[in-house]
This record gives sequence, structure tokens and C-alpha cells, in this order.
Amino acid sequence: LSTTLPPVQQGTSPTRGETSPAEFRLWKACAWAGPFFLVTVLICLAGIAGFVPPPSENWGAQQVAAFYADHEVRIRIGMEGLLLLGCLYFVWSLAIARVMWRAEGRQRILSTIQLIGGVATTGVTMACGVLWLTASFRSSIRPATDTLLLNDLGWMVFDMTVLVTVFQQVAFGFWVLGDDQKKPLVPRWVGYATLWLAATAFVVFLMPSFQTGPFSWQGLITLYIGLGAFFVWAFLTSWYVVAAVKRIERDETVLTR
Amino acid sequence: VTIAPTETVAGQKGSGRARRMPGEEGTWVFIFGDLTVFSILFGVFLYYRGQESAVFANSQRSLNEAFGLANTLILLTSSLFVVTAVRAVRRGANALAGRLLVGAMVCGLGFIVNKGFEYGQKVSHDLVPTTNEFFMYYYVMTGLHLLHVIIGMFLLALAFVLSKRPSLSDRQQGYLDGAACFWHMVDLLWIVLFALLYLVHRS
Repeated sequence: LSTTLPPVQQGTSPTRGETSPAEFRLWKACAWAGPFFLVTVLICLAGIAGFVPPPSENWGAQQVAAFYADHEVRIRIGMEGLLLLGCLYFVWSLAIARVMWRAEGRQRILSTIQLIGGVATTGVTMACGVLWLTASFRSSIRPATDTLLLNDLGWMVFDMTVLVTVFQQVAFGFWVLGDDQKKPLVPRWVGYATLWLAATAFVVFLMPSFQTGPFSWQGLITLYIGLGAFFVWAFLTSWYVVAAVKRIERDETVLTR
Repeated sequence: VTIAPTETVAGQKGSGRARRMPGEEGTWVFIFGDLTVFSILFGVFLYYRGQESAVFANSQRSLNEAFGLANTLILLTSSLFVVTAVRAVRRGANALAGRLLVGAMVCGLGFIVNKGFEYGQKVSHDLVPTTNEFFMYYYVMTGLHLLHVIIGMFLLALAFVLSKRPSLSDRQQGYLDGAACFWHMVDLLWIVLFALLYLVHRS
């Protein structure tokens, strides 16, 4: 009889042992939605819409209008792709939140901040899609300065709303560091890496002051390092969240056997 | 019999010393990440200096090296305080550690005040970020560094709180070491910044 005793497991999960195999499959699918979103959105923005390199911050109205007129169909397809895929980001954030639940107090504060940050990130991403789609729409009759304004708005929303994502990251990072189990669900270095990658995002606050150079929205630091840091974080997190779901599944199987 | 465990602990410490890494692994992910971003900034600065060497050389002459040198000495002193404080905590001299950490924080405050005077003097001479590329980088890089000093002050305050505890868990010791390492990084970055912005001339 003594051999059937379940292994000791820390953490306070009210739903321990209650997750069905189908739910675990759904959970893992949600976690994979993140990398899928990242790759496809990158294809939509860079490959299809031709936003790498993007229309420069120092371009005049005529040059910006010409960019949108010349790329009208490409930008439409790219932005519609972005709008089709945007919701996957909050689905992914939910998969993270549910992992966080497994080692969190009853108030669920950090997982909730993380999830709201993920939902808001979806919102601002879709807003960018709508603004850039509108900029390319009616390009033959729209005054060039209006296109310039829509392009500006798109980039301002894209860069200057970064704090919603930073809050998502910081909540996740602090949760990782606060997980006191002997073998935490996510390795502690991922928590530190998250906090650093989130801190990197603050460079976008220099963007409105510089129309050329590394701090402009097309610049090395704002676009490639800032956005690169986000992609690295999202892939890293996806990897360890999928691993955490698998571990939770293993632990539950052992417990209920 | 009572000595035996002490010997074992001492023996473990001795054998572990060669490989011991201060702080947690993650601290170093953070620190090397930060150093990478600053290295890229330094590279960008050098690139633009190469493009406009006359503007950069002239602007550099209007910097006051005394401010920079004072801040270098202030930060080096604070780093000495911090490393001595960490050693003091390890030896159980917590009261001393607390005083040393307060000393380090006073140095940090001195750095910030000194930087404030320096910025004030520059602005009064109409040397602002929009003056030219050099001053844009001067303000951006020293500003980002100042932000790190402020974050470092919070971490030193955390270290101070930890030094008041009678004993530290491994995790807490890791946080203490990590905070100290972050402060040394702030110091290291300033030394490079000081050299790059104030001292290095194009021959």
C-alpha cells in the first residue's frame, strides 16, 4: 500500500489531477499559437507588406504616399493577415497564464496582469494593422499628407504602446523569480532574461525625438534590437511554457495513476 | 565531535571557492545582455564619430573633464564599499556591511547630483541634445547610464535590507551578490563612457 503514495508536490493548484488529456492538448495548442503567430506575422509584415525596411520616419508626404500607392495590394494582404492572426497572441497569453496559475497565490495577480498585457498587445497590434491598411486604402485619391498622418499614427501606436507588452513581460518575469518550488516550472534565468528583454523595450521612448539614426522607428536600436528583443522573449517563453505544460501533464499522470 | 561539522563546512567552502559564481546564473544573463546593448551603443557612437569627426572633436572639448573624473572616482569608491560590504555579510559583520552600503548609496547620490550640475551647466551653455550628433549621443548614453545608476540605488537599498537580517538563505545571498554585481556593471559602464565621451581624442 505504501508504494501507491503519490509523490510530494509543491504548489497550490485547486485543479490538480482534473485536467483531461483533451484539455492538455488544447493547452499545448494554445502555447504553440505564440510561435505560429510570431512567424506568420513576420512573414505578413516583412515578406508580404514589405515593411523591412519600413517607410522612414524622415520621409516627406510624397515619398510616404508613393510607398503606400506602390505597395497597395501587398500592404492590404499583409495587414489583413496581421488582423486574421492577431487574436492568437492572447490565446498564447492565456496558455502562459494557466501555467502561472500552477505556482501562484489565490489572488492570481501576476498571471492576470500578464494576460491583460497579452490582450492589450493583441489590441494595439490590430490597431497598427488597421491604420496601415487605411493608409494604403484609396491611395489614388487620398492627399499625401493624410497618408503621412496614417503612417505616423501606425508607427506611433506600434512603438509607443510598448508598455502593455512590457507589463505582460514583467509580470511573467517576476512570477518566474517568485516560483519557490525546488524545481520551478520555468528556469530562473528565463525570469532574469525576461526582465532584461523587457527593459530593452524602453528605448522606443527615444523614437519621437529622432527621425534618423539608430533611435528612429526604422533605426537599428528601435526596430531591430527593440523588436528583436521582443521576438527572442516570445520564442524563449513559448519554449519553456510548452515544456511546463508537458511537465504539469506528467506530474498529474503520476498523481492520478 | 563539535569541530567536525565546522571542518566539513569549511572544507566545502574551500573546494567551492574556485568555481563559485557570484549571484545567480540569471543575474549574468541580465548583466551580459545589458553590456551587449551598451556595446552596440558605443559602436554606433564610434560610427557617427567617424562620419563627423570635426563636430565630435569640437564638442568633446566643451565637456568638463572634472565632472567626469569626479564621477569616476565616486563610482570606484562606491564599488569598493559594495564589494567590502558583500564580504562583511559573508563574515557576519552585518553592522559594518550596512554602513558600507549606506556609504555606497551616498556615493550613488553624489554621482546623480554631480550629473545634475553637469547637465545644468551644459544646458546653460545652450548645449542640448538637439545641438548636434555628439550632444545627442552624450545625453542619450549618459541618460541611459543615469537610469542604471537609479536602478542600482534601489538594488543597493535591497542589499541594505538584506544585510540587516541575521542570516541569509542561498536565494537571498544570490540577490545580495546580484545587486552588488549590477552596481559593479554600472561602474564599469561609466568608466567606458568616461573614456569614450571625455577622453579619447582622434589623433
